[in-house]
Amino acid sequence: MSQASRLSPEERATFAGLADLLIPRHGRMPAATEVGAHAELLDQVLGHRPDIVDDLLRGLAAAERAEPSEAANRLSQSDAAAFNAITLAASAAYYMCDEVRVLIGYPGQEKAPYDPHETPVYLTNRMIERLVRRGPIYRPTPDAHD
Amino acid sequence: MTSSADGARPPRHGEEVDVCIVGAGPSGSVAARYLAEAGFSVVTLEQGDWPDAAEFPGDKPEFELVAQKQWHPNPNVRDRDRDYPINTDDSAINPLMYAAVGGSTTLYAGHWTPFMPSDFRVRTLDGIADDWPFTYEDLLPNLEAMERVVGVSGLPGNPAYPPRRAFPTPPLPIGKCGMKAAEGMDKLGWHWWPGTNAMPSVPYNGLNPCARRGTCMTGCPEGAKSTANITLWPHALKDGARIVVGARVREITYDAARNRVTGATYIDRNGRERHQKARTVILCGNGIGTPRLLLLSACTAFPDGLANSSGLVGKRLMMHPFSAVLGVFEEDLESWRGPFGHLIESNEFYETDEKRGFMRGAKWGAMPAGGPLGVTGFVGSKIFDEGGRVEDSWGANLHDLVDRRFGHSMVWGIIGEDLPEESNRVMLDPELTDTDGIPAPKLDYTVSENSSNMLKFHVDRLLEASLAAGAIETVVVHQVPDTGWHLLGTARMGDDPRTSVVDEWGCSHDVPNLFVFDASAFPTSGGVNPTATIMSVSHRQTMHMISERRNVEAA
Repeated sequence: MSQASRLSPEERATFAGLADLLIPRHGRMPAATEVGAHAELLDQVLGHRPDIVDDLLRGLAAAERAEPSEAANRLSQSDAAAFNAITLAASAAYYMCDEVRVLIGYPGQEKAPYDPHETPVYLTNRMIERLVRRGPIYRPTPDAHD
Repeated sequence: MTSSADGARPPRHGEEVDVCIVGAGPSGSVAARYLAEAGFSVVTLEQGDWPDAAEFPGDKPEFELVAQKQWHPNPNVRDRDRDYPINTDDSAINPLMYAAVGGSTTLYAGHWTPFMPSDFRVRTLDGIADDWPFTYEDLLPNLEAMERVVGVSGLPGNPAYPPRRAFPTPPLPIGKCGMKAAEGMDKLGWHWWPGTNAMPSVPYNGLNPCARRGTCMTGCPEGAKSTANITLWPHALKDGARIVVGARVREITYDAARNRVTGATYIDRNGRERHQKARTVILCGNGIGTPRLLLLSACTAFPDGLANSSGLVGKRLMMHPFSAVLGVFEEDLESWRGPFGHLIESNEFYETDEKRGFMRGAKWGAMPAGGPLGVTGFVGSKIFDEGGRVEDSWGANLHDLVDRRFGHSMVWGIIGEDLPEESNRVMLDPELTDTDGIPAPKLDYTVSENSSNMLKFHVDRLLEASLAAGAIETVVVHQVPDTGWHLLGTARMGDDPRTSVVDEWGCSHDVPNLFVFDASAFPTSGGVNPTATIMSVSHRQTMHMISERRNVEAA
């Protein structure tokens, strides 16, 4: 049984309320539940991080049927591990979403091709020349060999 | 010392070998590669596995998520079966390491920063700590040899070092982030230099060129970061070296009648106890693993730990306390792009100036700031002031923070020299064990006043550098606990058996066929990332063992 399937509909609904408190719609950015951070993305997060499931479930149980802001603020003071599990799950799910990544301009840790033989700007604009002209800054070995 | 009669045939199980090496990290792998090439029969015992680049998460969407757990550098956080736990209740810094062929370099950032001339003469120049038994110049040929193996990328001519041979591959791009850092240094007239990194910019010695993914610290999925499993082991295996992975050494065996070590007892992956007989043993388990093993190998002749007549085994642990300054800029710096090895470096305040209120100095490295989870990573329950509310950091404020910082941030990291103190030490925990029941290490480590003052001074200078570069916001992260990457000094080398564990060639003063080739032997820590020097010192000791093969005392 996957870790994510341990979440009941009630727990998922509690998480959704908390996730939208933590990551609401704002300007051009969608709210957490608008991109499914409480649904498949949450399942993905918990699949990658089964270690946070117990803390998350404990936090959701404590927050059940409570108003999200009141529940989150109470949890942040009373059970840091549970609060951190919820915030990590919400933010990780949100920022793993392709739509969100496009909106913030994050292509992921992609390859970035370059020409290793291209002369770097710091050589053509003489930045390095200043450093070389200044001369050595190390202390030589006092009893250096020849 | 004898050599295997039939050249490249790997030693058989149970066969006594010339050399048993414990640990296949950078130092052990260097020794295995060159000893095998010289015809020694070599078995290396490595508790980890061969790394699988396909498992590295850097090219996967969940990269930042699993970097906080499965790929965390702290073994106590990662908690994998191959890790051993470390009791850090009395340590201000958490040691970081990784058990694998390639060792902790599997997760290192690849900063290639050799120790500087003054690092080998701290006592002579500054009247504190100790000199090394050899100099920068003595070690330079070994350093340059290692750079040819590692495929270092960099720009020659750095005035922070004496003139030396050029690097084998051109420098990596410093990107917008590195250029921003350099602009600030230029305005202040301070030293900087394009970063030298243990990752080539062109295909080299089995390595692919760095693709700038910026995920060096969770393993390089491109096969571009230089690690021993790629650069050294193919050669070592071809020359007949044998490696046993999943082998947890619990004791170095010792024959008191002859005062010689006779091999290593280890637990294999199936939980069976085995013994590897050897005429010589070289320890390369890092600054915690090596003293742990010597302490575990206490016997009647050495009740306080094998080869510990000096009483210094485990003492003088140095871990380089670390602080960082994050600068936020108006411009888009694409600051998730790699390499995560430093983009530029500076040694402006590396040497001692007593007027600053501390001795010795530090190296700075400018690095990218990571993805969105990294930028928001500090947002948790811990940041709330008394009476603060969740919405102060989350909600609309989270979006504003990401808008402001993500892609626009640059991090200056400070590696400051950690002076040796006998009170900072590695011991055996009386209760904690690894999964094979072998006692775990326990650390007692306090950040010294010198280190604390040093970091504060450097933070202040880096705030100036960040502002000079145009930072609109700065954040200081002072003395970060999870930064004990550099594990040094716990079996120090020296000329006097009363004040050192091994001699200048890594040979135990007490037991003539027992050697320490890793950074445990470092008398001082330098103020730079140590892998370049670790590999160079191991190369020096290995070349000496080869040249003295007919004179080495063997079991």
